[in-house]
Amino acid sequence: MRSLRLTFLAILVLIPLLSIAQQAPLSQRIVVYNIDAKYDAKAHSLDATETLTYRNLTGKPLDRFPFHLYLNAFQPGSTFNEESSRRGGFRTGMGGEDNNGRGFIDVKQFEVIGMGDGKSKFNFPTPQNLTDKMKFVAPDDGNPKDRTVMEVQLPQPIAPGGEVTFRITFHDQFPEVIARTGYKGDFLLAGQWFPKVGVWWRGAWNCHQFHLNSEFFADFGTFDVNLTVPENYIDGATGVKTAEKKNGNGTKTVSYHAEDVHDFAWTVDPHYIVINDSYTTSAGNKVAIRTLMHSDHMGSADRYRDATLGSLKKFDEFYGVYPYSTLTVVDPASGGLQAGGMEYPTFITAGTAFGLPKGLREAENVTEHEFGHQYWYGMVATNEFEDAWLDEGINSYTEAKVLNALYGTDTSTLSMFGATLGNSEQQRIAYIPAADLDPMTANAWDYVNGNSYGSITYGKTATVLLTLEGIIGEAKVQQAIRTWFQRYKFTHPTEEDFMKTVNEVAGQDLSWYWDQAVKGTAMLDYRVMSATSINADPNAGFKAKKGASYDTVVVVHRRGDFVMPVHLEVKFDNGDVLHENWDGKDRWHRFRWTKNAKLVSAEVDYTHQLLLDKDSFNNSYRAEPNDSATRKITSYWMIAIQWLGQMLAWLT
Amino acid sequence: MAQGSVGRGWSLVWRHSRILGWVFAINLLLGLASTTVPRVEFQKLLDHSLISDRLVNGFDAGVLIEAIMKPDINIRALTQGSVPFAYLFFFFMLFITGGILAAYREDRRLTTGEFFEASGGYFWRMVRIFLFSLVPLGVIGIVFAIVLGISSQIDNEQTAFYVRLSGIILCVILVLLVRLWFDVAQVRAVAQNEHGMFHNVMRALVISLKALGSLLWIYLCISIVGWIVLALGLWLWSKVPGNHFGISWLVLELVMLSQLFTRLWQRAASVSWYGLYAEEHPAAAVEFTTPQPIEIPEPPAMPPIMPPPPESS
Repeated sequence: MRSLRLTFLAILVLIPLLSIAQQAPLSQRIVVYNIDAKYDAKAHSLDATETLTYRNLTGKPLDRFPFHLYLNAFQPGSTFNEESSRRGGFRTGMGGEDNNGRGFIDVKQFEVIGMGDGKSKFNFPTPQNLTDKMKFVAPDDGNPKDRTVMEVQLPQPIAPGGEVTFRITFHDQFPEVIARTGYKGDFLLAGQWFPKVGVWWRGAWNCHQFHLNSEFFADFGTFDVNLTVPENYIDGATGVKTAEKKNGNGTKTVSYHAEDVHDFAWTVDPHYIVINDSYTTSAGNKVAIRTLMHSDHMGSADRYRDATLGSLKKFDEFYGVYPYSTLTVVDPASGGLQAGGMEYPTFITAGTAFGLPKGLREAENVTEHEFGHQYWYGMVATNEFEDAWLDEGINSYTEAKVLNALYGTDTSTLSMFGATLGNSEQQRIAYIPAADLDPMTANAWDYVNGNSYGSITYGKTATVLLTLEGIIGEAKVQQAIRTWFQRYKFTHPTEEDFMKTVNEVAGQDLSWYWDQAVKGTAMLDYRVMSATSINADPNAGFKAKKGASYDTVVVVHRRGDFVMPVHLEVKFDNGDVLHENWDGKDRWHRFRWTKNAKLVSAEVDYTHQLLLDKDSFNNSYRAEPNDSATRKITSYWMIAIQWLGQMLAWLT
Repeated sequence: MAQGSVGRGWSLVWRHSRILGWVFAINLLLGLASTTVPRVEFQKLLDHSLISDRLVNGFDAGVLIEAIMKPDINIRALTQGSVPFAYLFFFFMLFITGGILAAYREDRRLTTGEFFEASGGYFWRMVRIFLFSLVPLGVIGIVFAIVLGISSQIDNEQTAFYVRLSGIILCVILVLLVRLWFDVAQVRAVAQNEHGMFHNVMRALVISLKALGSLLWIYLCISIVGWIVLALGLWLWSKVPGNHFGISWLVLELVMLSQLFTRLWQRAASVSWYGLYAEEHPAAAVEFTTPQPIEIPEPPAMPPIMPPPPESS
């Protein structure tokens, strides 16, 4: 009986221990954020107190701490504003005509309330007030009007292995929705809303200003956030909801806890319609999916759901298990598109439109893309300021893989009225306009313009990886991406880490490819320059006899600076098909055959794997022209002009 | 009267199907001519390239987008080389409107000479009527812009969509009203051989307002038939396999023909309606030009200038 009791006690002790062992941190938790925020729904503002504990794992004493104050990007003169007025594009402006609509963050008080040396920790009886030690800095462009980064100098350094606890009191004014944050009517997406400490990376602080074309970079840790919001508002946030209590004054306080994440976003809207769902990963853990819909977008609810579940399944299958227990999908309010298509840890914003045709897979595209970020931005957590392609680009590649698997290779973007478009091709089309403008490795804010940033970071990276499939095989590339995720999740790896990983999985040094495709701006364009068959008998005259011998000559030309091996397929009118290889090093190469058959067609890259090739029309040449495509296009053109004429004639 | 006019309008178009045939032929020829520049532009890119097969077997939008993105394809040149043919059709229709109305009104086969004589004879009147019609059409354009402005301010997309849809329906009805008003003016110009077009348009407005219900019914009925045929045609076109573009082109041309038929049907119905209206309202519809008899008053008795001579006994 006693032994039974002991066994029972042992089990009681072991269960929590096992559970703790299972909940071992996924990341090196450097930061601990505790935030209490009260949201004023009328003014779209909040007042909050943030307690941040920072563990110094840099191996160096630290006495200077930089913080992101992103909401100040929406103030006149900010670098974000300067860049958006100069370059234009999506997610520009200030969110309002005057200060009422513009966002800002005001740090009211900055204190150090505790320190530790790694062994012991103590709180100051009287907090050290460092408010007057705060100063704005502009490490990227020196813009004195930019207030998106502030620095605080501590009176004494934090020893390696030690820690420091800050207490920051701040006030946020949210902008009318812009650049991934803000309100629209009662809807609020609170992103980049609290002072966030920079990242010690490659031996220095990495804390860039908020640019037009840059995203985010932060350290992993835990977040405990209490939000006081109107009682009738429906909320959603990063992490797990741990408590909700009514305050008796028309407000409620909701508490969220998140672990092993590097950011915290939340949303409220009294008009949300909540749809709950779940997914069980291959590892057996359950993911609670909560979709917050607006009534006018309910037609897309199933589309969001299918894309979310499909993405969870395919990512699980292709790259690894989603380790978090929650995923919140936010459907932005009408007019709140600037809040759409954004990723935060365990929390994504999608985007759709009322009456969006089913064949136009925009809702699915956005949902999958933002979910994919959970892996690259969320867990691998590369530096989006300096290595944007490692997040957006790899995510665009996985978007193509997942959407092609879910909706068909040729129809994953569009399938309407007989017209089709696959996601891989969409990525390639996105890359073409800026193919040789910037290297993928450029800092996000150093691209020549927003179009180049979008084309290169998203489209080119995806196209580079899809082309790589033609070199080392699709399975190898997929395996490399999986290894990249498994090996580097919850760290902040670099571009070199990525290329090293692919080389390792491929079993070959691909530097020649990385140098041209990733680090350089070389353009890839091979073409069939000429292809002819001439009667080999010079006395044969114009009329060839049956069985005559022909000299066939095909010249392949490398138009761009990008050098890589290519394959050629030549077809003859007796049904013969020849395959040839060329290393592509010279500017051109001549192939010659003498056969009792005439040339039908010649095609370079006949397997269509060099998606980086900027011009796919000149890759092939057929001896006898076929005007079927021209006739088809011009027949539609003709109808369009006839229709326009009839419309005008209707006025007479 | 309205139902009868719809039926009689159909018969008129059918009896004078030669007009429909010629109008369609011109529409087709101008459409064909408009493809000259695009054909040259696309030919040099597509005819020798194997990738063009992806446009033939199905319709790979990516190939078309890539083609349009290429500097070889000059979109501006394509537009400039083809849109003028749409304008030509517009002028052609403006020119022959008088001839069409004369043929429908007289309900007999006009000789080519008579047809073009009528077209030429009424041309400037038709131009003036068209110019007058731009005023109410412009107002409708402003109404539509206001509706769009209002809908863009609405936060709920569903509500905004329905506001936009209501606005579109409203504007379509308004445009139909303007069309029937000016169609009546055109018919009247031919039937009455009117020369003062402003007066004619105003008179047509009064007539149209008086018979608004029946006229709108005629135009709506015919338009709805046209829209149904259009929808059916597009549905049928969407079912044609991508590589059978000869068939899909034929289907779309039949849709074009049906839309021309619809327009001529409206014109013929308005001619027929006006004939009946004029019979029922001769005083209102016909302005007499014959002078009324003038009553000449008896001259007042003049006083004798000289006294009459005394009667001799």
